Amino acid sequence: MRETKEMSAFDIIGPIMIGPSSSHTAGAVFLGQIARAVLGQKPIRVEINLHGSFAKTAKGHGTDKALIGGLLNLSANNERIKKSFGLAKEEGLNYQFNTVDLGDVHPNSVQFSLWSEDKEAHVMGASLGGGAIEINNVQGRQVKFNGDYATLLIFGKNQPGTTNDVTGALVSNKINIAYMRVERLRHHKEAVMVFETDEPIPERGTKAIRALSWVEWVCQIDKIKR
Amino acid sequence: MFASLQELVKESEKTDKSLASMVIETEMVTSGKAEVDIRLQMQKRLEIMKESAQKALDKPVRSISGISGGSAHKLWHWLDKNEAITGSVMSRALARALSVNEVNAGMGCIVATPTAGSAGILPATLITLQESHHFSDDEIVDALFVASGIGMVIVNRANVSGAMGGCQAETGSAAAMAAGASVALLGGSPRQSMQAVGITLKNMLGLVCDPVAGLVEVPCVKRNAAGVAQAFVAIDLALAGIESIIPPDEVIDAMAHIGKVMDKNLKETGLGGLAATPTGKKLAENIWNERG
Ligand code: SF4
Repeated sequence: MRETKEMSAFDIIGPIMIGPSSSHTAGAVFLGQIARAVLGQKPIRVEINLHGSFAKTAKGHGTDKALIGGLLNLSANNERIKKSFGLAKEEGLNYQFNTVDLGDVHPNSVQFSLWSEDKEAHVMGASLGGGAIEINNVQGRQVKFNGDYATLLIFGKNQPGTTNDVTGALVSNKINIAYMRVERLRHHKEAVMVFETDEPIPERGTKAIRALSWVEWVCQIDKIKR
Repeated sequence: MFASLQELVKESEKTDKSLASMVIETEMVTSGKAEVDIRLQMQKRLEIMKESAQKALDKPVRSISGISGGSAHKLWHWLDKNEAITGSVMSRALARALSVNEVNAGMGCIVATPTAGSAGILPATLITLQESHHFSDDEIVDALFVASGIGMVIVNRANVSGAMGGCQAETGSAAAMAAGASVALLGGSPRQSMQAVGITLKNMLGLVCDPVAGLVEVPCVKRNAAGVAQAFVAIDLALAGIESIIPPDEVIDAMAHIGKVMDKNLKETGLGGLAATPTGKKLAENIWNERG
């Protein structure tokens, strides 16, 4: 027997998307949306560093417009993405694009630095093709997630019981954990956790996690709407 | 069930179910959704297909880069006063295929069928047959499910990505899906549908992916028109009972193999073929410098 992939009819007839290319448009929108989610509020300034193929073909593919569209929280099939530069002006978002060499990373990589009045966020990720993405750095920490689940990022002091604290908070809010990754950074002083969950975590859940003594930074990112 | 076209035909003959209902039933199982909802989901896609197939006919749509656009409008209005050699049905489908891809290149909304680069072929073919043969939307929705069943087999045996398999995998698959779905729509048997898939793909084997400046425009827009033409050729041949001596599943396998051995310069990298011509290079440089 030949192996067959689990597929939906709508993987073949779909997605509904804004052209011209799912990796350069839809993928870029998702990356922008996630960068905004990490900031947690509307940005007023953003610097976008484009690498490789993203830098080279951004204008022609409209990747630049798609990234800004994502930062404005437009969905990937919103035709206003084409006019996102104008919308950014209206919404008071200042943006700047730079071309950079990020070294040995995926050719469609992008690095965002964004600011609101009192917060800043730094996010790096790549568009892998077909609208799939990967985030690999948040606030200078290496992470790995793809937005196919609701994602909870937690940075804090590394001490015994941290993982239990979080899973406890999730379970008591009846949240199903799909994947989790825990890493120790900075000579084991810091714990970096990525939890991917089936349902979004309700406000009281994140509140409970924020209240944990060892937690320094929490961010919740919605599942990508495809 | 989607491991081979042959399996689809056998299953359909055994159960006496149409290809469309087999695909819909599978979707009901995998998604847990009711048939009405699944049909509605497809209907919504059909509406977006119709909009994108019309938009660039009504007024010229230019791409973001400026290297393509306006062709759909030009052909459509030429057809008003001229008799197309390809006949009134096919020529209108050609214009619609151009329209979808110009809308795509202009950052408009499209449905990837199966990809954005090849999104014009299936909608243009089915919408035009709907117009010429007065099919209902429900019948077109059925045909779209047949197309997706064919697409699933292609993904299982090969791929539908220009970067992996060249343009034969993208526009070739799209045209094969369009041909197979159209044969079913026009009353052909499941076996004839699959023959249409095989014939189309056979005629498009080896087609490389060589987009100028890496943009989904040149040659992509015109290749969608060409894909429609290939589908029309196969539809008539298959409905007449002509068969491919190489079984359609083996044609898909051949496509996969050719994609594998194809030079990577000819797989969406924008480094070979038309992209590497003097004009292709100049256009690319202009786009990158002027706007970079
Ligand atoms: S040339 Fe490449 S990008 Fe263009 S339609 Fe064909 S496969 Fe797609």
